[in-house]
Amino acid sequence: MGVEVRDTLASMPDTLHAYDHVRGIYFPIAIGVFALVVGTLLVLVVLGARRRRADAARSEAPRVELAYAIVLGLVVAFLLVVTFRAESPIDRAVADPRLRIEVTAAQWSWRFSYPNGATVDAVSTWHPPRAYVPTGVEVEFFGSSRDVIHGFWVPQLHFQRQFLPGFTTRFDLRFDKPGRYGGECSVFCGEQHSEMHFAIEAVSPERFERWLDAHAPKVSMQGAKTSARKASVTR
Amino acid sequence: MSTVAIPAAAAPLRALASTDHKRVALGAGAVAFAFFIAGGVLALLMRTQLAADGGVVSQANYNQLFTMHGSTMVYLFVVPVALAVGLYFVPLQVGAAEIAGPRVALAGLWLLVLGGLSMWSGFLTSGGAAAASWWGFDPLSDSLHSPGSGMELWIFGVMLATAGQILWAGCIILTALRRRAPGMTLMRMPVFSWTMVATCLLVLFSFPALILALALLWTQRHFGGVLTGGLGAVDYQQLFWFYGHPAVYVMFFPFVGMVGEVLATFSSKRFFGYRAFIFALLAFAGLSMTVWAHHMFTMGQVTNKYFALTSTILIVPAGIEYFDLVATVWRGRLRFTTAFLFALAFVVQFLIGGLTGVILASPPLDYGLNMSYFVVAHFHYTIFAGSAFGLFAGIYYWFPKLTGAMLRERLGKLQFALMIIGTNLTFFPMFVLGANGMTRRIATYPKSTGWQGLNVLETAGSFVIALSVLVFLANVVVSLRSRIPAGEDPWEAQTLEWATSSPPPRYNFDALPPVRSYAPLLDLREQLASDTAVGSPLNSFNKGTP
Amino acid sequence: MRRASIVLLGWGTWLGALTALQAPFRVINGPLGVHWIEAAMLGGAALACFVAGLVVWAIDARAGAGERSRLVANDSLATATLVAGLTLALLGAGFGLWLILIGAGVTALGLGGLVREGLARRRRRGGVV
Repeated sequence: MGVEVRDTLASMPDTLHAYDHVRGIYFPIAIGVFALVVGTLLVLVVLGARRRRADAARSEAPRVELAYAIVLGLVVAFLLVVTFRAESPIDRAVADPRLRIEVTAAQWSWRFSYPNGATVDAVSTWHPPRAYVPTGVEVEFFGSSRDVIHGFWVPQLHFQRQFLPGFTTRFDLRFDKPGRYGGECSVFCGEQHSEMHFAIEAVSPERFERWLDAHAPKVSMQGAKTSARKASVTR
Repeated sequence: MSTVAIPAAAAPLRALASTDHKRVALGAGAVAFAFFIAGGVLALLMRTQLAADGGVVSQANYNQLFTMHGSTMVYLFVVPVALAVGLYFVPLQVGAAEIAGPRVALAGLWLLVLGGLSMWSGFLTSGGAAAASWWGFDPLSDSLHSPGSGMELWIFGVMLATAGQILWAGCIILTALRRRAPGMTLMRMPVFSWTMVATCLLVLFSFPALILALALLWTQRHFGGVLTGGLGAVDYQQLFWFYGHPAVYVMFFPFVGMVGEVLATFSSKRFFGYRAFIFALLAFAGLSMTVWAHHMFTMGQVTNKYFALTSTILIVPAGIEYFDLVATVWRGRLRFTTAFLFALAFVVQFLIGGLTGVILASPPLDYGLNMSYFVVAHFHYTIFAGSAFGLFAGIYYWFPKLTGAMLRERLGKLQFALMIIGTNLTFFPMFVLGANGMTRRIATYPKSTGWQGLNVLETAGSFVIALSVLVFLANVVVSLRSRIPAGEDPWEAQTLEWATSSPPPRYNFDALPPVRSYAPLLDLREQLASDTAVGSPLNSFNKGTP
Repeated sequence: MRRASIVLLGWGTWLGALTALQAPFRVINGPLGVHWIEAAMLGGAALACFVAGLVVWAIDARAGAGERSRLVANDSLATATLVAGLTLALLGAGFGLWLILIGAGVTALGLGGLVREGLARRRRRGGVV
């Protein structure tokens, strides 16, 4: 069964700013429209409460409504331009990411596997896996689920993507600020869905390299397997 | 066309098997309302668990609760009650003596009852009721991850209920298209009946996808090999949401129609912008068939931009509909009955749901907000704060016609006040919590999140809603026990259902007034007013002086 | 009444146009995964609606002018029985052959009842103008 390769134009994925930018346009417009409609209705209701007879000269206004529909259409076009422009970079996977981490989701935990063979697992429900990443570069997460659909959600980056069984998902994230980014499983996956936490620990690139070396598996018979796996991972 | 009925049998038989569309509709409405109460109790249990911060129900039980709450509300309450109101009033509004295919309509009622019983009997099984959410997603719902009869009973129950709904839609739309009174052209059909036509189109051409999805799921559970490969799970969702999105418009259009009738009646003028509204309605309904995969944006497996476009362009027909609703109130003589208050609340509250829907239609925003309480708030605003309020507007408007008795206005306004407070208290904070990262479908949240305060507030709101429903039930009981007679037309209304007795006789009308527009009774009143006005040549008191 | 089918024909056409709108997005999004299902479902609905419109058109054309009395059973226990039987048979698929057989039996009762109603209607029609 072939693995899906997404088209890979060079771009910097920045989910956090994409969200903030689009939100900064959509939310005020929504609030403004709400205020306009409710305000109009309020005025009409107050005026109508005291009226003795229904007073309207006409019961349709086709030209006004046509003009109004055109205005709405322009608003739609504007919103779509904003959305599509923000969406394209984050939908694509970068051609040559600096780091590729394989993610395996299962009922009910996450495993992160690094190119050098290091893995991060959950220790227990109360110690979710903490995957280290370097700040300021695009990190590609790819992988699938071992059983049912799970959702990889990092609320602080305003991004989530579903992991499907038997299919490889790929996406890029960029962690600009160092610190801990909490992660949840966003797609309901059964009894312990609420316990599928994870954390991404974003540290400086130097500190990340040190961590990666420290966590590399010991050189042994496994060494050959590790390098073979490394070769297959960096496609 | 005339219809003659073969004489009736005994009373118990009639309750079970009457083909009178009015009895079928009342039965369906009562059954749906009973499921509303049941589903509401499940919601109260969930809210108690969330407020108590754990310890009330286990996570496994909680999963059954939200699965059955959602399933009951969608499959067994809102969709059936929307169609039931159409079953009752479309024949009346178009001046027909009976619905098209009365026995088919009766079959639909039985399918609803048996389907609902099947789903709920899952609670009686050893494994409990279905617990894979109201979507029943594969692979979570397959035999490996959801073994047990609860899931089986759920699958069959949903299939049965949905089949019944498809049958009803056929009856209603054929009545509207082919059984209208003489003089009632398509462009003179009342607003509510048109919204029912749009609703039936959606049911007929998207609901079969659910039956197919469930049949595939059942086959997968028993024989495997159907929903296989990585994209099998995606295929299930494609089929499911092809049903699931039109379903939410089935849960919207009838209510916007009844709100339109109520606003017009209690503004004492005809509905504004009728033709624009009808075209916008049909365009809207068609568009709503094209947006389904916006529920799947975060899978990365659908043509995101197409669905973002179709989901956003809904603003245009929706905006036209809103314009017409508000313009109906413009320059009217307003009468602030309970029905009118509920209709106004619908307009305001549904708007919140609709605008947040546009927000979610943008993939960059959806990636951040999907599966959070923001979505939960969005759809509760559209379906509960919107459609359910529209339903109560319709109930307070049409109860006199159904029963011949008026509902108490004082109790009605008390219900309204409690319901508005409860609804906004329960669902508005969810927008905030969702934007802060609160995932849905979880029984207990860590204390460190600091969400507990708002959770408690929301639970308080949900009990206020429950109180308002009790007030409503009390209103019904009181109004039926000590009746205030309603007469034919207590509201000075505009459409044909008000031109017959309350409740209507078996064949609906003894005689039909002439139909010259979508507001025939208003036309008659206006004609009478101008005929008898001083200065009118038809006024016999007015000989000579113009 | 022939105009009624225009609602179905028109709406089916509208759905067809919306299906066609998917085409440019295939190009923009590139060859991704299995998307034929999106066009198949929406296009299928469009086609079904259009065909339904043609059927209603044909029925209206055949019915022509002139009124006909329509006899309607006031109640139909047979319908309720039929639905109960089909339900039991369906549930039997999950619970065992015994339930399927019971369901089949009840269904047969229901069908028999419907036949009886049909015969009664035919007898009545002999006397109704």
